[in-house]
Amino acid sequence: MRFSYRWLKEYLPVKKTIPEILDGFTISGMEVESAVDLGALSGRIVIGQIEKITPHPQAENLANCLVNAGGERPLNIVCGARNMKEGDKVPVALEGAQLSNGITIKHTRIRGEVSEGMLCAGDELGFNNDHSGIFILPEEFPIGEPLDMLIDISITPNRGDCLSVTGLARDLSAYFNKRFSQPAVRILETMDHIENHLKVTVQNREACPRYGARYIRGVRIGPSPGWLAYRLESAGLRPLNNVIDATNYVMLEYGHPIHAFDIDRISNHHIIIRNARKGENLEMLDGTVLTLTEEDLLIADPREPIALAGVMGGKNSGITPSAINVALECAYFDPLTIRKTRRRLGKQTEASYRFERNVDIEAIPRVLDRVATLIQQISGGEIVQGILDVKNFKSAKKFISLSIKNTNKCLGTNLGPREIADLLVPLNLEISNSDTENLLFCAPSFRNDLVREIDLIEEAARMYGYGKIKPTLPYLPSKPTTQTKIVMVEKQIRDILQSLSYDESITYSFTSSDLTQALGLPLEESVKLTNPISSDQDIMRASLLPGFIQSVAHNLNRGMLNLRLYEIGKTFKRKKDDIQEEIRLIAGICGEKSSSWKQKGEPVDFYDIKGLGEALSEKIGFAGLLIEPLSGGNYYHPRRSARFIKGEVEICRFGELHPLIADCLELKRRLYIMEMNVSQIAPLARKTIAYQSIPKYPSITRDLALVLDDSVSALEVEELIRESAGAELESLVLFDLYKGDPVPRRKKSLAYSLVFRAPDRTLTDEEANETMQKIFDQLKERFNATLR
Amino acid sequence: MLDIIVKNLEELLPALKADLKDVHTTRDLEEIRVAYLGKKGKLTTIMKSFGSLDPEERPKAGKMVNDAKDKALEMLIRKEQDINEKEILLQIDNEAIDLTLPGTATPPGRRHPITQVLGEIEEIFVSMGFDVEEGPDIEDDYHNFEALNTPPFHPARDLHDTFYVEGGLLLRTQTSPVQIRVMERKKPPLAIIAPGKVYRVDMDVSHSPMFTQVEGLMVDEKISFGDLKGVVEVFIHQLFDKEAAIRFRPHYFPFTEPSAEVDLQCVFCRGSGCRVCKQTGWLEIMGCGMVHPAVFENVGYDTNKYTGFAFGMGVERITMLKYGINDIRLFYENDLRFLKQF
Ligand SMILES: [Zn+2]
Repeated sequence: MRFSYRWLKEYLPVKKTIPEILDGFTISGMEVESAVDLGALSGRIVIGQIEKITPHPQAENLANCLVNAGGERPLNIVCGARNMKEGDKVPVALEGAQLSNGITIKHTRIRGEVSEGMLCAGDELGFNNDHSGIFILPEEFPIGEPLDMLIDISITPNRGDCLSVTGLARDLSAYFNKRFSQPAVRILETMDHIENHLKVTVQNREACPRYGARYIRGVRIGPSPGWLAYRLESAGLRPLNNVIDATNYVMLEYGHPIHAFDIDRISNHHIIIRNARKGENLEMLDGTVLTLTEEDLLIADPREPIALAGVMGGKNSGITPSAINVALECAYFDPLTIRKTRRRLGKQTEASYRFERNVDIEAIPRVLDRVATLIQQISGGEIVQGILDVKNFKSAKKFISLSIKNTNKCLGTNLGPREIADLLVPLNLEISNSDTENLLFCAPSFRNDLVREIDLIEEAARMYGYGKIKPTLPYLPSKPTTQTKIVMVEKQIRDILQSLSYDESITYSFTSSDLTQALGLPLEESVKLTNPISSDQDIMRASLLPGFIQSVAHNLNRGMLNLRLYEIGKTFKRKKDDIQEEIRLIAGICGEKSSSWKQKGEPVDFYDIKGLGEALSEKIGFAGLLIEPLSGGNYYHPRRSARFIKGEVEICRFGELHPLIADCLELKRRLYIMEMNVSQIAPLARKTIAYQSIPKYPSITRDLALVLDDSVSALEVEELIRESAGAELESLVLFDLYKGDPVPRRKKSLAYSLVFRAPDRTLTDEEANETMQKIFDQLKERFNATLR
Repeated sequence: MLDIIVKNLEELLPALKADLKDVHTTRDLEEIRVAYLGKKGKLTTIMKSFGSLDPEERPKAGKMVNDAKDKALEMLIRKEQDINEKEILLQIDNEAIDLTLPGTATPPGRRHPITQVLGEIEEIFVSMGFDVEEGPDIEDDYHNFEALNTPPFHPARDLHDTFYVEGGLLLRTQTSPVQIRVMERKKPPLAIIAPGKVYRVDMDVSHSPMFTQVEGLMVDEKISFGDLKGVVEVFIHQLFDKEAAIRFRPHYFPFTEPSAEVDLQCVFCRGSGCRVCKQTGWLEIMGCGMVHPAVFENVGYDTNKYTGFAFGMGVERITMLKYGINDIRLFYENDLRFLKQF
């Protein structure tokens, strides 16, 4: 809610400086969204009056304005606009003024003529968007005074009563410990009664518990006076004509929307509040045509709809320049009904916004009196006697009891009944009963948000000031923290990956169904969004791969070709009626191993990602894994992908991304990835460490360089070596793989380092030689191995 | 005879001293050692002449020879150390390298900045005795809204533009539903935080359709707004700066009352006003409040017995303030030039 400080000041019953007012709003819970200074704070933008306009001697399109800005002598200001005339009040930016567009004003010479300031357009001040000419101020504005300030308050959804200037003044007064009352309205009516001219029938009483109408005849439609237009614009509303402007003005003043009908355009002068018929059409004031449903509440005459209740008037009954007799509507509409209609039709208006947040049902007659007198004041005409007031609700006082003990218990304060009463009474809460333990309050009708005790406790805290409540620390019994296995494993994984130089990425939980499909991932179980933000984020990810690949591609496309990246995150799958959320890991590596000036990094390959799988599996507690090729691993390279299994369970899978996919995505490097379903395997991880005593006897190390057929796998060789070596083989490490001259074609050389040790004695060379011979014999027999 | 031996011995050490003067290498030293102490060395020769001594003169001569031998050895050892030291010093001189060439350790990877800041937040609360809880990202309307005192068509729902999934469920717009799930399962006393991803239909430099929140909840018999202030202040001081001023101002959330927003004195301008804090001198850090009795009623807690507080904060926002990041979308692009900075 934006408004002019001048306007607010008119209602505020206490004298406060601008900083005090802005702080008061903030500290009492009315967040100041922005405050645009139009001189009220700086004093550098003031109200001036143009005394004389003379042509600029050097420039045809400039004028010299002699402006009375309240100083000892008038100022000479050079101006390029044409819309002002002598006698006009205008905003004058003096030397040192900072305009909201960033310009700082200085005395200067413009084509030889002295210019002691600047006359401002609306947009230069930040008042509105108008740049057509100098902003002509209302003639009532006093010369020499600082112009104004625009204050924008963000009002929380529970405080519909503050969606008006008097509402805000009322709440702020309470904070300054002063009770506010709405100004009284004196009304002059004709002898003739409204019942002779207008009839109101409310058909849906739940949706419209109160409908009030007034009747003014003989108005003259024209532009609004300057002061009223200025205030409307300060709130961001565009002036239209004096009757419509008056309804908007009173809405901004009291917070209650009002609608004006041209009564001569309403058939039979009969207003009916009813639900729409299915498919009924209504052309709105803004020209759009709405098709309605039975849920929408209408204002209609016996023939047709004339307004969408609480949202906007219809074109067929609006106030045009020819209107003479006006019916004014001020009603209470059920917030939920308005909200449903507004949401379905997507039509938020100043009116619907306020009705949705509750208006003061008791204020209706006063609001009607106020708007009627204002219209009479600015448009003429006479107010016909009486209000048609259709009431389908019981006026009841709302009593709320407040326990002193509960208040202090909740806030951690030590306030007495007297202090609490002093905090709440300025909010127009009436004490109707009190003792040492409880206060019984009657809440004002405009505070729909005050319902139960806690609401009053909050008001007391708000008025007391949160800042005054002493911070304390609660007692927490110490206990071991509970951490699930998944969380623990997740943390281990991050630690390991970090130590292995992998950077962490995080991508959105939603992804593209097209990309998912292109990667060969199934879509049947995917969770679809009904309102995605874009078509490439239309499903919840069932795999981390699509988002991950996009991150990889992002970096590859920007020249970062050597990367190690991972993500741990949730994936989502539909399982019958349920949705399964699982934590998964994906890691990827591409480009070269870390290289330096000492050592050129080699390209990464399958064994780097396999090594990652091994390291991770081992560290989180899986030993004795079996490797098996991935058959049909869709997006994996069919010859370069595998998985580790423990019994039936897959611990992780890894390999090169399928070259066709890499090609299709135009990845600039071969990408090797590893995936793990953390949720599934974490509960199975068993990390047991059993200390083995440090060996007492020396070991013997022997190398074994073999030449074998290419088709023999390293695993087979290793298994056979272990089998034939027996228990004294302490370790077996492959230290070289060689192909090429002098090793014959289709053969390879594998070189192992074997360490033998006995736990109870020193092994002899002869024993080692014997074992080595045995191993080689076996290899020769089984694989036709030769020594190199 | 003894006289000759005595004379020879007296001449021995000065001769050794003189010989050692010109020795500069280990090899030369060894030659000298052999010349004096070797099998055919000068001292051995002297000892061989003992045969001609009277038996009563022998002990005296023996002692003299041993003394001379000890001294000679000492001189040789000292010389050896000397030579050694010189040789090492010479070697050092030849071992100059370019100290400015880059070091070659493989740097560790980086955790995502969000993970890092989330980790810091968790650590602070865990050290205060809070447990970490989790809940599903795909929620039902009841837990995300209704149980949190936000019935259908409540105006507060306007602030949460919600993603829906087929079948009527939604992506949680806040981590607050975890409060409800925990309270449905456990009885007070409770002190939990619930980190997680949340989703809102919104996208610009300061809004991401997915972001990270941390929810906190504490319920017991005597929890007050003062306790809320205390816990939040300790947290913010730990996370940012022990000296930073903090401000609580009234706000509205459907599921807490009284509710507050917590402002931290702007870390960029120290409160004097700048672009980041929109000239206010304050930065909004989190929302919080006392748990609304309606929420306790929804989970079957006795509102006469228990009070509690809840708070929630956006991790991206805090990370942006901590590091001066100006575009929230950077967090989800995963550009290495961004990730490597943290
Ligand atoms: Zn700042």
